[in-house]
Amino acid sequence: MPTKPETPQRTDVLVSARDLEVTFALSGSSLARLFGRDTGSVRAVDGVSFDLHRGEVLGVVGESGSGKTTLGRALMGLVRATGGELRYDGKDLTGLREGALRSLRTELQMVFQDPNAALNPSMTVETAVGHPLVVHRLASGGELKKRVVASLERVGLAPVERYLSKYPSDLSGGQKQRVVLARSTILEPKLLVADEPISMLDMSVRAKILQLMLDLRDELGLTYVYITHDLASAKYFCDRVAIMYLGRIVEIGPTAEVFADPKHPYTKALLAAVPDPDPSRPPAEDVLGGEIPDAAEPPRGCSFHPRCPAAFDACGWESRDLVAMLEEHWLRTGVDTYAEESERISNLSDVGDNPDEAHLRPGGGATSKELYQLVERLRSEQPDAAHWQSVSDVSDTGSEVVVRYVEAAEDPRLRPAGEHQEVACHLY
Amino acid sequence: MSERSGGAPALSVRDLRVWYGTDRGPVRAVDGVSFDIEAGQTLGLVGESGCGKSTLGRALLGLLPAGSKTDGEILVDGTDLSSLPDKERRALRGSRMGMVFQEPMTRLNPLMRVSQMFDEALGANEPSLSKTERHDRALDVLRRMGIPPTRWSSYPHEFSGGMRQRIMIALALVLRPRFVVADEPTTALDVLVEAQIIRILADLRRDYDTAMLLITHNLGIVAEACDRVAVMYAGEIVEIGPAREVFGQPRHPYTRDLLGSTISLSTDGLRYIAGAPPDLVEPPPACRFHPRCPDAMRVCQERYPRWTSGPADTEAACWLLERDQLGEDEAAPLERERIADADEA
Repeated sequence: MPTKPETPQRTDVLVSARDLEVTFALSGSSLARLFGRDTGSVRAVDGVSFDLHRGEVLGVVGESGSGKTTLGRALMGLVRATGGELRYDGKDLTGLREGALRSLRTELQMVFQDPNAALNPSMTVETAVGHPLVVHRLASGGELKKRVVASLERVGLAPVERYLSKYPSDLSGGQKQRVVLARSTILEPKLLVADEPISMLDMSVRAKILQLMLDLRDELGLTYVYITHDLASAKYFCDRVAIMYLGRIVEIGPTAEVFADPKHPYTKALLAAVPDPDPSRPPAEDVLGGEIPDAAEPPRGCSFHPRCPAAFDACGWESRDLVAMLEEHWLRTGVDTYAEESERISNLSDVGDNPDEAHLRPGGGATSKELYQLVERLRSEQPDAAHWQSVSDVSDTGSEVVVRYVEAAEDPRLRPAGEHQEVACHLY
Repeated sequence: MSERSGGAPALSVRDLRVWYGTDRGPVRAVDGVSFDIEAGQTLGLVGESGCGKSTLGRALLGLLPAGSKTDGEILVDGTDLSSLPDKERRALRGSRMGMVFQEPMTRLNPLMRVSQMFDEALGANEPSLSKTERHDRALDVLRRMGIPPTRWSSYPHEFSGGMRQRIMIALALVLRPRFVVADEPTTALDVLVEAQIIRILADLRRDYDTAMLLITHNLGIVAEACDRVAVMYAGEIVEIGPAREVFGQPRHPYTRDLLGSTISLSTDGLRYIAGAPPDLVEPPPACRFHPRCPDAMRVCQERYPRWTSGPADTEAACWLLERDQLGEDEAAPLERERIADADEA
C-alpha cells in the first residue's frame, strides 16, 4: 500500500497573493450600459491572501459559488485580477501583458474537472499530449514524439503504443484524466492548478489518480493548488488547506491542524457534513441549513452570519435576516399560521431593501399596532437568538413597524488562531 | 399513510434480467437480480459505474429505452408489474411508484410554478381530491421538505439546486407511492446541501411508509440513510444485508475493496481495485469478479459461487465463504496476468 510521502522542505515562496480581488461586472440592460449606469458587480474573489511554497500542495476547499475556481483561474492568468497583488516567482502577474503571460504558461498548467470537455474529441492522444510543445514551438518531429511517449509513460498509460492513436471516446474516464495530466505535465511546469480533478471519476479510480498526482509531484517537483469541494480527498492530499466562503478565505492552515481542530464555524459544519461509510461513526447530528448566498448581494458583515450556529449580535445582522427568520417561523408553525400572519404584512418582498432597518407595512385589514404585537411576540419567543440580540429598537410609527439593527462590526479579517492556523471570525 | 399489506414487502424483485441488443450481441446489464424492500425501508444500491445500477432502477419503473428486454418479476402488492401492458403500467407511475432523478435542474418544468406542478400531479393521479385538499397535501409535504411557504408559488429558476431537489422529492412523495427509486439524488449538490438531502431521505423512513431504492456511488450516504445495502457488480448482486453489518464486516471481496477504495476522512493510505468492470456482452465465466479479485482461487473461474447466509441476515455469493468445502486443487490461488495500471474505469 503506497503511503503519503513526507512533505518536502519549504524553502521559498512560489506564489504569493495579497488582497487579491476578482470582480465581474453584471451585464444590465443595454440602455444602462449606454448611459454608463452602474449595473452592479460580483466579487468572485474578495481580498484573498496566502503564500504557496515550492513543492507544497495547497487545498482550496469550498462549495460552488465560493470563488475557488475563479481563484484558480486567476492564478493561471485566465481571468485578470481587478485588485490586490499576485506574485509568481517574484513577478507580478496582475500587470503582465498577454504576451509575457503566454510564455509564463509553460510553467503554469491547469487540470480541469471534466476530462471529457478538456480533450478535443477529434485529436488523438498523441496530438493532444504533444500540443503544448507545438503551441510553444518547443519540439517537433522525433523529439516531439519522444517527449509524448515519455509523458504518457509517466502517467501510467503503458504500453504507449496502445494509446497513441486512440481518440478520447475510446478511453475510460480515468484514462482520459491521465491523458489530461500527461498533457499538462509535458512542459514540466512548476505549478499545477487542479480544479476538481477526480470529482467526475468513478470512485474506484479516484484513489489511483490522486496517487498518480502525488507520484508526479515527487518526480517533477511540482507545486499543486488542489481545488475541491471534497474534504476527504483534501485531507489526504494537501499539506495546507484554505477554506473559502463567498470569495474569502475563512480559515487556512496545515491540513492536520485544520482537520483536527477546525476553528471557523463554517469549517466545523463542513467537516461534520462529510458522509462516512464507517458504520461505527455516528451520523452527523445537526446539519447546517441554508445555502451559499448570492455573491452579487453578499450579506452584511461576516457573510456566513445568516447560517452560522455561533453568530452573535455584532456579526452583521440586517433586515433581510428578518424575512429569513419569518420564513423559518412559518416553516415550523405550519400552513394556517402562515396564511394568517403573512396577510398582516403587505410588503414582505421589499422588507429587506434597507439593510439597517426593516419597514413592515400592515396589510389584510390589520393595524400597525397588531403588526407590532406580532413582531414583539416573535421576539419574545426567542429573545436570545443572535438576530434579535442585534435589534436595537422596534417601533410602531402608526403607519408602519420599523425594526432597527445595531451597527455591524467590520467584516472579520484573517487572524492567527491556534498554532499555525488563521481564521476570519469574530470569535477569535 | 398507505395501508400495509400484512407484512409482505412493498416491493419484491425476483430474478430480474435486462438486456440490450448491440451489434456485438446482447448486453446483459442486469442479470438475475432478486431482493425485497419493506414498506418504510430504504435499500441502498452501490457499485462502480457500468455495473447496472441505473438500468435496474429504470427497469423497476418501466422506463427502459426501446430495444431492451426484461424478464423476471417485479411484485408490488402482489401485482407483477413486468407482466402488465405498458398502458396499465404507466397508470401506476406516480401513484404506486415514483422516481427522483440526479439533476433537479433539468427535471422541473421551467414554465410552471411549483404550486401548479403539485396541483397537476395530484389532479391527474387522485381526481377525487378537492382543490383545498390538493393544496393542503402539497403544502404539508413541501413544508416537511423545508421549502418556506413564501416560496410556494415561485418558478423553478428562483430556487437553488438543493431546493429544487427538495421539490423533486416532495413531488414524488405527495402521491404517497409504494416505492420510490432515487438515482444519485445528491451527486450534483454541494457538501452541506448533500448532507441536508441525506438527512431528509433518512427521515422519510419515519414519516412516510414508502419503500425506497437509493442508487448511489457514495458509500457514506448508504451508511447514513439506508437500512439495507445491495452491492452490485457486473449486472449481479454479490452481497446484500443490513448496511451496518455489510459495511462493518464485508464478506465479499468486492464489497471490501469498494469500501477500501473510498476516500474518507479516516483514509490514511490510497487503495484501489485493479482493473475495470467487465464488458457485459461477454462477461467473465463463473464469478464475474475473479479477474480483479485479489483472493481468487481456481474454482472462481470454473463454477458459479453459491449464496451463503452470514450473521444478521447478510447474504453473499463468494467461494471464499465456502472454502472448507473445496478440494485442494480448487482452492489453489488463481494465476492470472497482471492488470495494467491504466486499465481502469
